[in-house]
Amino acid sequence: MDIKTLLELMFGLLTVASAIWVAFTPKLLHAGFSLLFTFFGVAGLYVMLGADFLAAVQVLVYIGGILVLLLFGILLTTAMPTAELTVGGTRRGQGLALGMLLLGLLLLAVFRAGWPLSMNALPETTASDIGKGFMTTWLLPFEVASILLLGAMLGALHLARRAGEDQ
Amino acid sequence: MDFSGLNVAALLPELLVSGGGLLVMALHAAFRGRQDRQLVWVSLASVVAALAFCLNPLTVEPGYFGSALSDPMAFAGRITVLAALVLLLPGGVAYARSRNLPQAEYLSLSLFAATGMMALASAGDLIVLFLAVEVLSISLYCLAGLMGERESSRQAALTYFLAGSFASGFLLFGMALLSGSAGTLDIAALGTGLARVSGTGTQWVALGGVVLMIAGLLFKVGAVPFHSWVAEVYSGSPTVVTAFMSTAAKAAAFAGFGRVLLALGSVSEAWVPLVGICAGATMILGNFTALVQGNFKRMLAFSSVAHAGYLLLGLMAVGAAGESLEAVIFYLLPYVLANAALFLVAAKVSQAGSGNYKLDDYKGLARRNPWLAGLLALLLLGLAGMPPLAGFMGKFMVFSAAVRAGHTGLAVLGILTSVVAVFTYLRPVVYAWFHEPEESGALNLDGGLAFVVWVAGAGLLLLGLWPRLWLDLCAGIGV
Amino acid sequence: MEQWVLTLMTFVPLLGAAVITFLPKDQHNLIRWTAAAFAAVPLLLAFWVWQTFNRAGVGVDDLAGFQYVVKLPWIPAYNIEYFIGVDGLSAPMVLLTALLSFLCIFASWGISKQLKGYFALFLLLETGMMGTFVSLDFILFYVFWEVMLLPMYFLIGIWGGPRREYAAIKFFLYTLAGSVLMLVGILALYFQGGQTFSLIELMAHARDFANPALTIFGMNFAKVLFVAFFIGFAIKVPVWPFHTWLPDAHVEAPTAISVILAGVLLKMGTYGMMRISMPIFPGAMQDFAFAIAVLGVINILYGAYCAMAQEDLKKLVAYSSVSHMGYVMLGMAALTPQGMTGAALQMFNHGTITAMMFLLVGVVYDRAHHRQINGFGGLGAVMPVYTGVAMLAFFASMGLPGLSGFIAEVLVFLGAFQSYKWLTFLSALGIILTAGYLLWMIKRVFLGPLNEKYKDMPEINARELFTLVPIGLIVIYLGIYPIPVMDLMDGATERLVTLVTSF
Repeated sequence: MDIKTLLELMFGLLTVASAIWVAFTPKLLHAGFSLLFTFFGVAGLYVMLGADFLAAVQVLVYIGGILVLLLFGILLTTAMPTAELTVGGTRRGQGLALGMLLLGLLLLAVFRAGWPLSMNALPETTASDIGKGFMTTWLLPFEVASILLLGAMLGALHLARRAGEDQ
Repeated sequence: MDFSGLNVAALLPELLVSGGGLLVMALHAAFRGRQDRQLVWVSLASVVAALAFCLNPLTVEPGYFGSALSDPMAFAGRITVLAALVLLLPGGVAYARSRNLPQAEYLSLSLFAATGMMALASAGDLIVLFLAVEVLSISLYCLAGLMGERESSRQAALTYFLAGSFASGFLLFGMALLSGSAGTLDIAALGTGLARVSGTGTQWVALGGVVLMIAGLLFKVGAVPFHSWVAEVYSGSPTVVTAFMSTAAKAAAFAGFGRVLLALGSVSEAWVPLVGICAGATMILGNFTALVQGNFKRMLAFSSVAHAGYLLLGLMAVGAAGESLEAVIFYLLPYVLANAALFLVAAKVSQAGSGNYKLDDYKGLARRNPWLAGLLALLLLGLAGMPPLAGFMGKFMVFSAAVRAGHTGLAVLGILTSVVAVFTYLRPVVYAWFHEPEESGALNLDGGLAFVVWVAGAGLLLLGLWPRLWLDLCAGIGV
Repeated sequence: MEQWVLTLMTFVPLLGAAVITFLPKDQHNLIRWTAAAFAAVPLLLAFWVWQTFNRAGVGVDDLAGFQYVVKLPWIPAYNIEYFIGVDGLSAPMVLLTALLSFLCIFASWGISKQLKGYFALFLLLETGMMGTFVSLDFILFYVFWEVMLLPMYFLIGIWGGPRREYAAIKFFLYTLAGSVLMLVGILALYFQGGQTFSLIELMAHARDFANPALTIFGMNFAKVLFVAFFIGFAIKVPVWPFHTWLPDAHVEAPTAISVILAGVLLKMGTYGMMRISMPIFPGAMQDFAFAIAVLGVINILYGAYCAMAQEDLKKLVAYSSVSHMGYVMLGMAALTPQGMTGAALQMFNHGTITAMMFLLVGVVYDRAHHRQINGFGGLGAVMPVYTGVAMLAFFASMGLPGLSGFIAEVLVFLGAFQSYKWLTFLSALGIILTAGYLLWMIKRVFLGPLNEKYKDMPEINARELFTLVPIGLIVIYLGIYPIPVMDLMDGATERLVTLVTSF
């Protein structure tokens, strides 16, 4: 087992284990911190796959931005840091069944698939390719995403403001 | 960089509508909300401009490097969405104004949602498809929460958000597996990509992708077994938003997913049985549940589940055969017209009666406003599929596609369940015409609502008698 | 130009309905006379068609035999056409529809509630009926067939008796269930029959449909479809055991609507069998002929038996319709020229006779506000003219020689006897039962001691006579000399029989 495979395995384990912790811990704050490791693990996997720019974005945006905001939100809201979350028993059963079904489907896919290897050499750096892609082939998704963010922001702002006004 | 494949004009309708949304926001800010009454005209102007472009497109080349298509389905889907918007925006603004809810936010979110819907109808690759779904979903979540003043509305928004996020997860996962195994994100190329891996182990990955994507689709359109959110969300959301969800959003979803299924025609044996069972179950469950509702809004909610079943049947039949989606495209327009008008009528009648959408509110409507009662009957019977109204031609096309594709059993099931549907739709008609009113006094419509109801009624009759109008238009503008 | 006559007949009433919706609603007489004027146009045109109809033409599966044909594309994507025309099967029905619709406008003079709506729906109903009889395109036929349903539903549901809502919904759902079965059949035929909805072209594919290798749901294609269409039409006739909607609908419907229901709508069932089931599935028709004959006999006997037990005059007449439609079924199933002509003639004659009977019931109901047979007595002494007309109608219904009912029944028996001896004997019992219930009713209503309550009952008035006398004259005239109607249908019925028996 070479070092690369070992690292991949490690990042994978880190991601899955911390994600399980996020899902199952009843303490909201613990879940938030644990999410840090999930994001980090995913960033590591990106690096292993040669997607350096994506890994950097993952760290910057998800860890530096979203997670920090999330933790701020939890810590600044009264009662939230100590809040405990529970999921009802029947729902847990349903979720487990659905999850197992999905897992089965994926395992089937993973093990049955031939996984043909692409022989192209990995690019040295991906940032410029991604940049060009966003300006040409993937211009529309880029623009649509901006509308998406705008709509979400508008709605979120207004919902938050209204909640404040109600008091 | 080579920009020769850009062709911005292909995306003009979307640009006009989203531009309208931005302009509304800017004007709202510039006038500090003092001129909000005029914003509806700005919005309608952008919608009408987009509609005019769709009816007479300057270009028919695909744009944005193949991400935005200009085929008949794209135009038909866009026109359907825009038509729903024209019918619903004035009513929505009036609703917001009467309850002191923010008009500008309502308008711009509606326009953004419509942008997403139109992008979905014309999406050429999976990325745009997914983003478009998200744009329309997120805008609708916000609208559902934004426009409500009651607890049920917030609850509906939350339910819609959770169900929608779940569906998005399925969708995205499915897309990843599908595009990974087919080696392309281009929807039209999925078929050939999958044909290349068929027989190899990779086809199992593709199969997983197809199943997950279809699950996501069924979720989004509210088909069995993923229909449970529909009743709560549709009846809990403000009626103008419900109308938007059940008409334009559904039309766009069917146009977008129709395109995907059409591309997956080469692996139809993998998904046809699955979709077939769901379509059958949706027709049965939707119609029978609608039958027992005592609440008009819930009845419409379940009837829209039932219609999703018929549309699925149509998608399945034409998708498997790799034929055009003419039947589905045709089905959608009268469905959208009738549903949009009925939801608005429901809001009006309920407001003048019990306030909670009881069927009893319709008792004696014919005495209070015979024209409204007549048009109500026309719209309901149009939805039910009585000839010579357009609903009949839609059902006829869907069932004939099903029979041609060899799904005669499902066509028979569809026809039998539509008898149940007729019975459901007749109940308000019976109340309106055969019962004595509980409250006396005329029930007058304001100009906007009267316009909507008459346009929808005339549309149903016209499309029923001359289905060619719409079919030729769809065929003519896209070729 | 003259080929547009059928189009005019079909759509002039629709135009009338549109005009009526824009009339002021308190101008009752204006509304009534407008309706009458718009109903008079199809009647005049129908007479003209009857006069100019080329009796030598055959029709059925031979397009050349159809007259006043119009064939225009309607929805080319599906090969759906505006394809209309008349032959010997439809021409008498068109005449009957136009006549009864016109007279029923006058029978509706007493309607006072929501007059505009009533007459507009009535004219819409006439459009539906006319369209159904002249359509030669299956989808067009289906559309008109359904168009007919809605006005009928509202006419019963709004202007009907106390249990109108129940009756209207029952009528609607029964007929709808029948017609949707038909729709599946239509689609299946379309894809097996060269993607056409033209009835004439579908008939040319009869051999393809009858191919034993062709299956649907694992069963023989032609047989399954024949049964599907048969059920669709049988509900309309109505054939036992699908008849239960009929008494309810008749009892609750206003008089004029009962007349149309019994006089025209019931005929659509048997007309559909002749126009569609027989020529498209001749082989299956041969296979099922005996079963249909048996159902016909059941209708005759069961209908008559039920009629005998009725206390309500209108229900009695309703059940007599069930019984008389049985003769049509029997004559049709005999697959002999006499039987078929008898069936077609019976359709026309029953339309006129039963119309008279319902109108007569309406006359006493308007005066006494009830229809209990035992509640009257000795009306003959108070209303001699009324009684005279009533006797004419009831005797014609009994099949007395010299009146039109007789000829048709004799032809049916003659035709049926060649095919099913025992069934014909059995059905002859129906004549005795018919005479039984009618005579017993006449005794209780018109003869016997006068019921004091009704000693001042006003005599039948001129307007009512105007609705009854023309039909009465036709009943007498056709009883003596049936040729003017028979020669319309002779060619077509013979052709139909050959088509089935030579298959």
